[in-house]
Amino acid sequence: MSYLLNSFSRLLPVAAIAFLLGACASTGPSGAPPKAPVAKAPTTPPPAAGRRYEPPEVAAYRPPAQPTHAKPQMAKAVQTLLRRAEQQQAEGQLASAANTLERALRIEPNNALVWNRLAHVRFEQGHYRQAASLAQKSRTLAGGDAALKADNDALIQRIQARR
Amino acid sequence: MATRKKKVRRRKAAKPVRRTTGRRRRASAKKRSFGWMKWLAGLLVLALLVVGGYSLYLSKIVRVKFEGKRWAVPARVYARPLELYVGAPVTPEQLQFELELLVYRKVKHPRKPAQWSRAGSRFLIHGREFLFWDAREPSHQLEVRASSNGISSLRDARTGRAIDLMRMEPPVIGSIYPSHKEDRVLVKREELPDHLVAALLAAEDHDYFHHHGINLLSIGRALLANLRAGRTVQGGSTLTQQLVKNFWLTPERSLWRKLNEAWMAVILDARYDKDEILEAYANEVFLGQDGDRAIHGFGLASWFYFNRPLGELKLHETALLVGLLKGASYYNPRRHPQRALERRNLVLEQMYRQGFISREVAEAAKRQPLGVAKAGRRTSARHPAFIDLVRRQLQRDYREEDLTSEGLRIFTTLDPWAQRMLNRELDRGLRQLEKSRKLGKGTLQSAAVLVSPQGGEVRALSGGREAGFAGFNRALDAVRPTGSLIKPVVYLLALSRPERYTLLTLLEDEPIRLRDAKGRIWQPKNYDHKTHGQVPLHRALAHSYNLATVRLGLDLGLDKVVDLLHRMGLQRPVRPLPSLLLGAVSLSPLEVAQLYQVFASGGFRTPLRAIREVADAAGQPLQRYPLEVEQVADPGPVYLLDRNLVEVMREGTGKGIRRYLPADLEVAGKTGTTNELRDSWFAGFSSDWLGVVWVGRDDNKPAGLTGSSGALRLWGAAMKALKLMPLGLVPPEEVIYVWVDPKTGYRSAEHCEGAVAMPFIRGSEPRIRADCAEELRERGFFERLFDG
Repeated sequence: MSYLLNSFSRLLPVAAIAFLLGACASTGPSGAPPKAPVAKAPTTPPPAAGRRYEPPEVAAYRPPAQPTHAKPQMAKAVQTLLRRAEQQQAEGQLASAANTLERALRIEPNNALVWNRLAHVRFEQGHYRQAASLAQKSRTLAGGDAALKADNDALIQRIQARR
Repeated sequence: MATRKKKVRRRKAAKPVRRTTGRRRRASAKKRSFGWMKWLAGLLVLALLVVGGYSLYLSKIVRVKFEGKRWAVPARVYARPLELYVGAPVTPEQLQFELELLVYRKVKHPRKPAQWSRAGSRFLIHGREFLFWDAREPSHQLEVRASSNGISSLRDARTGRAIDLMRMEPPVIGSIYPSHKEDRVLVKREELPDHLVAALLAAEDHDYFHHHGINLLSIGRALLANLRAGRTVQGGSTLTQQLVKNFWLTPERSLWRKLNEAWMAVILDARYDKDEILEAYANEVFLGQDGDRAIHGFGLASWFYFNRPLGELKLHETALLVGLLKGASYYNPRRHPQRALERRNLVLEQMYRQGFISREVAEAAKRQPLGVAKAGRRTSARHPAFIDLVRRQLQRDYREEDLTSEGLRIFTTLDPWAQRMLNRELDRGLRQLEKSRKLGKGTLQSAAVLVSPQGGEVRALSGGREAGFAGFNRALDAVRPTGSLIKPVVYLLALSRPERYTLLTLLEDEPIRLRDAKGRIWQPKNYDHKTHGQVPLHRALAHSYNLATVRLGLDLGLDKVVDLLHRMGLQRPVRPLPSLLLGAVSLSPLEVAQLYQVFASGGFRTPLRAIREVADAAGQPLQRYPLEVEQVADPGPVYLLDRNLVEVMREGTGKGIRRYLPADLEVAGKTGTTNELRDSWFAGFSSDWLGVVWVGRDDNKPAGLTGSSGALRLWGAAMKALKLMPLGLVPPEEVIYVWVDPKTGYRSAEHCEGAVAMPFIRGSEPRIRADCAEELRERGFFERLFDG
């Protein structure tokens, strides 16, 4: 049974860091592009259903649960891909956008935001079943990000309403 | 080919008949000298008609082949491209390995594409441009710093500016050949280096750009030389004639064939551009043999002999290739280096004499060594098991003919570094097992699959002990009883009913007698032949108790277990027999990987894929194999199960893993052992790798290994080599941790003696409080945290 104790004591720093990150999540990197949406704290009330989810900030990267293995710099590659996917999606190149997001997921398979983005792209492509599954997946990985969870829920609801 | 041959023969047979009719007519013409002139004119017209008709016929043959699809180009299979970014888990060893796999050349100062240098942890890489399915990745010059922790810096080597992300060119890992094993890398006319064209002209046909398909002068000269020698010592063929010979005619040597060849060469030359013909020639010629694979064209020959694309070859290297035209096996530079060197230098000499190069350049080139790469690029042989999987997945969507002829480009998920680590550790591990267990050398066999847990991408596959040997692919075709490997499915089903089962629910580990469908008695036993009475559910799984599991499975319902198996992605039919609960169901390692993928990704099934994209020869995407997920189990129960599978590795049947991985590196997994130790299985995962390993014997005799004494060790060694990331499970929102007294299962509190924090699906946590917990109703800080 000692493993439970061990795992618990290991979760302690995780919890602490998650707590701290939550506290200072609104301070974004200074190098954020000018077009970046206004930073919102994760506690922002969920946007109205049907509206597209805007991430708290471009660097909405949550470190993996293991702080000793968190690589904060790693987010840069994923950020680049997220921006690229966003642009491709805006230009209507949905297949390319999906491709770019899959690339990002290979780098950070537990990044709930990337799964959410992929869900939106699939939705636009008309793959509703997949979009719902991907949103569900994003939801389970979203942790304490209420806004992200709410966006996933909204997307799932829109898909269910279509059926 | 066969029909063409027939046509040519039929023509030959028809000719003499025509001649006899001509003679008869001539005889009749003598009798009536009056119409002699008329007859002659008629005959001339007839002859013209025959020759003209025959020309038309040949012209059609030429056109059909030359304008149609000229070659069957095998599909090229690529590994995944290496992604470079700061934080990428790429060690210097791996980076070097990847560069060598791409056959980039290590130099002091990389100045051209496909070169690199290394000084300690600093790499300078000049990459090649590459046409991906989604974009063209331009040639790049990188400065990379890598250590055992991964990549710490990535910059543009020219400007020093930081780069966020760079996708390297993916290495070729094989080709899918047609049955006649002709291989090619097509090159365009403008891709032929000038010095190659010069060498061709000098050595084979100096008048190429001026003659009309044939060169009467050189034919006459060759004829004279051959008559003088009394045998064939010299050929007077132009490049056009050589192409005609390879393209349309049989290799026999006869005057008739020679005439046909000349006539067709003239037609070809008249109808088509010199450059077009030259391009066809450069792609058609035979330049070597690699086992049963025929090397055709300069494009492939360049890879085969120098491991580089044609455009990167130097003068002395192209001269060598041109020299091979006279006899690719006689002048084989690997087998007969001296002959090849002399032949090459002769070509260089001819180039100088005909004014293509200066004396100095020729002499400098002659001084160069042959420069032939050691082994051929026998990539098809390197990953036979994985290529086999790719081929099977492709055959669902493509005809065999298209795969082997359309020049498709297939982008796969193979991670060559992981494959190499896997091969190395399996080989080493099996030899150690045989030695320590005093088993005969080479008696054990193995199979393994490595998968990315969330993406379901097959990153490495081992079909057997000899990684380079294409034979029985055990990872796909060795369907073996799974033993306890199947148990987590039963436990997941139980934990999905939180109102009835939690990790603390007591199960009865007591003897059980059952009758199977045929009325035979089935009396399962525990591995240690003991019974353990009442055991908490989590411990029954951690220690793999058979009796408790059978009772649990029967309570849940066998058909429900079968249902879950199918939802999780198992496609073969499974009979709902009680023995199923202990792994009587036989699966291949790949099928096991599909089941465990669900555990490793929080209950979301992703069909395992070996292919990401298929593009046509021009780079246009044909088919995507997108990432697809489907939720087949709730995240809460999967989380509890995964915690339980972590316990297996900490203090259950998998604790032997500590010999390979440090105690603080959390992984989850399960062992499997079958009757009389015939099969040794292990399946486990971290956050970035999922691996399934099977060890046993091909003759199905007992291997003498349990899951933990066999497969687990190989798995552990492979995972250690891969430097994996810990599991790092994040509890889903429906899971809460509460303090419990493990002895009674009652609610406890942080300060109580022996209390442990255990995860429960919200609402299923124990209500009854232990005495100690009654004293302090206030909940602890951490509990609140997890509750929140």
